[in-house]
Amino acid sequence: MTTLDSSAALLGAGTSRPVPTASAFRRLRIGPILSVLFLLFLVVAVVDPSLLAHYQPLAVDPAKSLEAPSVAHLFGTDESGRDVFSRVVYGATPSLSIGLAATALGLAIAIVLGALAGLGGRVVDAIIGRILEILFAFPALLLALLFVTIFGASVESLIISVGLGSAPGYARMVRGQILAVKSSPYVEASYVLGHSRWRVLGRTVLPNAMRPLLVLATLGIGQSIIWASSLSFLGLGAAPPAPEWGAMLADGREFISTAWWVELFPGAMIVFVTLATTSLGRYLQRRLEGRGADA
Amino acid sequence: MSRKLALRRTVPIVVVALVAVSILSACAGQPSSLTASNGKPVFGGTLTYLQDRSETCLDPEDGGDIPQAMIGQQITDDLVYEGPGGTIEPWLATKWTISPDGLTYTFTIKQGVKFTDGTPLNAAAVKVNLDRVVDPKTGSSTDGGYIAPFYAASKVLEPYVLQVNLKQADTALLDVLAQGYIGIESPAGLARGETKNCNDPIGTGPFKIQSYTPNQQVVLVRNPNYNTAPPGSAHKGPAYLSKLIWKIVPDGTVRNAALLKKQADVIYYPPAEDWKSDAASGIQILTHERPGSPNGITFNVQAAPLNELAVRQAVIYASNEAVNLKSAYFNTYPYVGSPLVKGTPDYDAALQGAYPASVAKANALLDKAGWTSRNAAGYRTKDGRELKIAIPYDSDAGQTAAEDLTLYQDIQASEKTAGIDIVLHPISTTVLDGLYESHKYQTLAGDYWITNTPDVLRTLFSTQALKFYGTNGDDYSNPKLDDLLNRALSEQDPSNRAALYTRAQELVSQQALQLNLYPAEERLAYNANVHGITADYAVGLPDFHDTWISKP
Amino acid sequence: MTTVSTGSVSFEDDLDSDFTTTGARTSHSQRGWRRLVRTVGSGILVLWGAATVTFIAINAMPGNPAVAMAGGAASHPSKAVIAAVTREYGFDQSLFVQYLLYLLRLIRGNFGFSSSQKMPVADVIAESIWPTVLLTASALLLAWILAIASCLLTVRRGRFATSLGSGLEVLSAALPQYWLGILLLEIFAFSLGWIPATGGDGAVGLILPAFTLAIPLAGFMSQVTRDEFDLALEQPFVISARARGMSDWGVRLRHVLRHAVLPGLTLSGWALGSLISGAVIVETLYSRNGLGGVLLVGVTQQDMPLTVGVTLIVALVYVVANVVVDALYVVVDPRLRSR
Repeated sequence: MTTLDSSAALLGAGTSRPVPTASAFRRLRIGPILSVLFLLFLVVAVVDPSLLAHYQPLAVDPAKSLEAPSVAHLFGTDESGRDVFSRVVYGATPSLSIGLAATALGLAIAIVLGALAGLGGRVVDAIIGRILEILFAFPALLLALLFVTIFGASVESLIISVGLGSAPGYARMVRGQILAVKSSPYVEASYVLGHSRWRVLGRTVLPNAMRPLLVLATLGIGQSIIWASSLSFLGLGAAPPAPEWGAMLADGREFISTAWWVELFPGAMIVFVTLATTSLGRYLQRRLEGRGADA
Repeated sequence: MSRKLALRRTVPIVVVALVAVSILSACAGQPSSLTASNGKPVFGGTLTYLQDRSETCLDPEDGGDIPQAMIGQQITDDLVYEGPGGTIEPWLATKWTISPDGLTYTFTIKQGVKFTDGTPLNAAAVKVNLDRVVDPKTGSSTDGGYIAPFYAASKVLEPYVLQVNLKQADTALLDVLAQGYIGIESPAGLARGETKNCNDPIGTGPFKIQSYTPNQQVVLVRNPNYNTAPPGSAHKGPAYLSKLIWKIVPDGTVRNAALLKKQADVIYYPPAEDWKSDAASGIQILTHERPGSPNGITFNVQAAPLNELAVRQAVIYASNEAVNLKSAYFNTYPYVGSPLVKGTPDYDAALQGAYPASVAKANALLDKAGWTSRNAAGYRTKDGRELKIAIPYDSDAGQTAAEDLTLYQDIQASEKTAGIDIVLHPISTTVLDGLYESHKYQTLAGDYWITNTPDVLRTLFSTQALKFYGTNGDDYSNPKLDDLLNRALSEQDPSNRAALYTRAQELVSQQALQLNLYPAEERLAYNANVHGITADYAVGLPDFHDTWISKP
Repeated sequence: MTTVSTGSVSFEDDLDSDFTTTGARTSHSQRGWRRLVRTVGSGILVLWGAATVTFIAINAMPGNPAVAMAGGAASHPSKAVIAAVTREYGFDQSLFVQYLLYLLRLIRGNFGFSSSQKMPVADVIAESIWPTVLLTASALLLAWILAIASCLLTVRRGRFATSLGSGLEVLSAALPQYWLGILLLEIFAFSLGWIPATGGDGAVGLILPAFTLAIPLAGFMSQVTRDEFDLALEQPFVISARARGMSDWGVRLRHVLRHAVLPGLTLSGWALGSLISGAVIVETLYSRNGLGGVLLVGVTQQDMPLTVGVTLIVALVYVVANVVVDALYVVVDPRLRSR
């Protein structure tokens, strides 16, 4: 889907240019703090959801169905009388894990392809360039749907297809980083010092080129989560009654006119995760580049 | 290409009587009669109707899904008509005789009728239709077990006289022929081939197809020469409406909002949670309880652990289905606990309360059956196996109503109190079809059968159905039940037959072959300026021939 | 750091090398055209690659590929149908022959028969491609309008406006399309009743779907454009223009904007391709006719010829869009035009 590719493309356009504005830091400073707080909340939700939620996510109570938000039920109750807040909290683990796994897979593929392209000489670079170009022609959701047609809908299908879909954007980045680092003065200095080609590669080029990947990953996670939840929304993801956010949204759609809270809160969680990771990623990216420029 | 699993939503078989239309007490709307009309009908106008699901083929004989029959009802007429009380009356056949042995039917076809493509209706045209519907290549889901096993051949005796010969007596033949699923189509139209006929089936009905955009909409226009209105119609001659826009809108919320904003005149299946607010806005709701087997969850008696009677019974006792149904469907459906729906002939009311909700009873049954130990999650186990039952359902929201999904989840939670682990599996239509074909499932959700004869028990639970019709989803086979049902089929004395069917129902109920939930219903919601909406007596299909729109 | 373009396909690399050091490199129209020719060439290569990928996909289907291409096991294709499909696709011959047959069929525009729609895949696509192209093109245009408006109005317009602008952009980009679509539907169709609940016909029916697709995309476009805008405002030519007494709006519209849209423009190529992904969701949500909805039907009904056909058409749209963007690039970028 749009957003996934675009984050990578955005990075592609962004990282290779100097970003000089100090104002950018200032305007994002509150963002990172809020982001970190929100991510901490999610970490707690993943580690021990019972600290935050006072109801069981699967505990139905038909007598209390579709109750509006109140002190007892912060986010209201859903059509089966389950506490929406508790479901949102318990839903952090399934909702985040697909996005995280897919990002990890995408990065792994990207590092291999990108490193080969960046280090393997013109011919390898050209071949990988073509492969990436072909992958780019398959928008990520289409790739996932093709996967589901062939292998059926499953968590593995989702992870693999989301990972594959995001890989070309990352790979292009990795390649760019390696080329940049390869021609940087300190690599040349390494050669001058008489270090072997492999040592330079392993100790200097790769570590320096991989550093921005942390940022990349942070930026990609939010999009991968949106993505995976889109597939759940289309009925190709998590099975009910699992409190996965995308599946909750698909459930709540029917009640948008009569009980908006069932639909609003899980969606808001996805937006907040994406906002938090993006804002944090952008902040880190700017910090990193600021330092990178000094190097 | 046939949609065999169409029976999940369709395949009405032998429908005999009228079921009263009622507005449930939960809804404050006014009761509407089958042919509600205020004032004098006006000619002209366009009616926008929103349907929930699309059809891949408009010809109801090709497959036989409910949306197809709903379109078919507007564009075709049937050979015979089923009136109130299950009486069979003339329609395209003006009269008929049945030989004493019940093997030969001789129909006299109405003269002076033309299909909307100009082809004349005659005996030869009807023969083409009958031969086609039993042809396996046509893939009609209506023929399976109901016409094909009985039909031998038909012969044109005179241009307007057709003789139909049967291999075996079939007292249900006329009832089947009265269904919208076997509307008579133009032979010239059929000769164009499947693809063309699917996009534009041609009948003698009150409307004809003007345009069809798959998955989007069908535009129907009045057949100006219509002269074959059935006996039950409030008026003869062409339809009042000049145009019928039949849109596919899968999302119930969207359909309902469109109705509220007067962007649609009639919608199919208004979401249950909106009924209250709809009534407050002056929207009318028409419900039509369809007889037959209720909507519920079918148990595969060959698949462990449901091969144990005690487990099946325990699942029903533990489900708290009546309460869960009320909550999930906002009290818009009556609970059906018996194997047959109330309006079905020889329905045994005593079985309605055969399985009162009782976790204690479920626990006792399971304890006795050896499911005594529990695992860490609190589910029962026996010999290291968890008491786990999967319910696969269609992940397409158009196929599985949101309320059903809520109901399944609520039942899932109730079963947990007895230590039964219910797993919900969303899968695609195709995978579900494959599963159904292979019988590799423990349960089938949303299974029901619309018909108005207790013979539906034979359709669903007999060895015959298991071996030949492919309609026995329970994989159940019991010579005792077969015997009861076969004897009932040939029993001429009504009270003796009723006694046999009562015993059959008791056996089916006692065997706990399915978790019964609610009756299949035709549900339409419409604005107050729409009049004369009717549901056909045979299958409960909407009929727009008498419908008219008054000026707001 | 400047990425060294090694003549590979990456248009972003090209962008970087052209763009990074504004005014540092001289380019001529020749270079722009050469780039266009290269894009067309690599486009053909991409199509060939996409065809190859789908060929592999068909052969990766579990079970008999002939059954899969005839509509899957659940549709019970007859033996005759399976035999015909086997002959047509050469499933009884070597993989290489199958591959050549497959490519040959595609070149002739023969995408096979859709079992779920009961008509040739080419016809299904012909019927549904225009609504999707219309939707995605409107969404792209709308995204550009929103992005440019946000940049013109908020970049360096004081702390509050700037924070508001960039905050809204990040928020827009974080909105899942399906959720946004439901909210827009509830607000504008169900509650306010400004737009027909079923979407309506013609231009009115396009409004909500186009906004649903455009808003997240606009968030991305305008983040990219904003950085560039910011950068361009500090360039010497801006300072000299201001020194000549040009108004602030004049500078922004006539000098800065042209530079700022370039990176966003490069994104437009893939954006159109990937907007089609979004169309799957939006068309489902709004019950619109189009490629996305058809694709979803193809997937849920395991209609392999349809799924493959739509996938290839999307690849084609992607390639065409990139060629168009490259042509636009020559028009917009002053450095790529002859003086």
